[in-house]
Amino acid sequence: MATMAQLQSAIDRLLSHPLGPGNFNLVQVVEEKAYEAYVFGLCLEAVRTLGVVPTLVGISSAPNPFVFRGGPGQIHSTNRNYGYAHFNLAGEEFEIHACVEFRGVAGMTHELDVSLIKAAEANQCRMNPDDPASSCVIGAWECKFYDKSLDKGLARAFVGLLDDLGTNVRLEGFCSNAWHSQMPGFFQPKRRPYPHLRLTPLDTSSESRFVQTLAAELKKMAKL
Amino acid sequence: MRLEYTPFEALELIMTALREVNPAVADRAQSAIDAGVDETVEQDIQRGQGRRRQISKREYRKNRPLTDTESIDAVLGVLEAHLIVHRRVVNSVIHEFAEAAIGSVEPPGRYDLKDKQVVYPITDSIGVMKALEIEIVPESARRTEALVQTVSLTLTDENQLTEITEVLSALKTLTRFES
Repeated sequence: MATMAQLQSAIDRLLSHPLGPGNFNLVQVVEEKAYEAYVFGLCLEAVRTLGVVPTLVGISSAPNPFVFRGGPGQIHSTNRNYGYAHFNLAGEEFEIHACVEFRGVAGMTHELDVSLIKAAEANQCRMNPDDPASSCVIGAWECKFYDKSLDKGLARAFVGLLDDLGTNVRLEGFCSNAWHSQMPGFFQPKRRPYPHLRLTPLDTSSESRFVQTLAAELKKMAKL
Repeated sequence: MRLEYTPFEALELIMTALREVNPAVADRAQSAIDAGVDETVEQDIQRGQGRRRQISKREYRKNRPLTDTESIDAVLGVLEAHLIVHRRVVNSVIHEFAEAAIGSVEPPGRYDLKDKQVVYPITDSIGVMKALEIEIVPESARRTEALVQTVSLTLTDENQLTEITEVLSALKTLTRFES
């Protein structure tokens, strides 16, 4: 029989562990942005599976350090040397961005947590400061790091946002480490984003699904 | 495993200890408990009477508070998200970015806007860990020198991560109550 003393000892071991709550500083924005960076990293992996090495670039110079935006921002922003990734696939150039705003079909701007876009349009928007049109967006991912069940409103909001991005988007995904029992059903109808729920390094099969889906789409686009 | 304590006592013990060492995480845990749960309830519906009586079933959804056992699971879920998953996420980011090249773009004005941009990758940088930072004060915020503007992403030791996963797993075993 497990005793109260054993329970107390297990709690103490957890609390006093070097990585335990006693030595942990909760900064929510870092957790949220780190999760976006993680999905960005899975996009890099998908590109590498096609035999292409993506290049990390900064808006104004080589990114050292590579800075992830802390909030929605413009692709041409010069406030910091924000980073993005560039790659060339069968002569077509693409970029991967985090937290960049796009101009929707109705003219309203929308932030995408992680996006895959055509490099030519992105480049023009950096040269002549402007928000890229949603027509250049190929992949759009919403990323949510939650420590509890997801809010249903997040799924509704992302579906609404995608509706204003037009029809050029080929891959849409709602990524989260967490879950909500009603979300898989909500995302089931056609033209709704794929629910990459419980997508974490703890579940390599969910990571593979993400990487393979993106790699397959890129392959199709580049006619490889 | 038989347990000497009730789910309520175990929950109280965990939450009291957590509040003492990290009130911010304890608040997150309380919030996870208070979120309750969406549940599907099955109901028998009786139609007709006597020999014509038919019983069919219907389901409906209902929000309800978590039980003590479910609350413990919620608290341990919060701890797992912050202490383990987040750190594994950061480790994954660092490893994925290490496999990319660092590069620079030809400066503006030296090429036609209609042409493709020219990116010069530095091949030596492939396989090398990159300095990665997350901005914690967004660009729209007014600047003050005192504020820390960015946070560096740092690798967590794999052995320590394995160790804390085992410690949390042991706690889960000690709070697995027979239903």
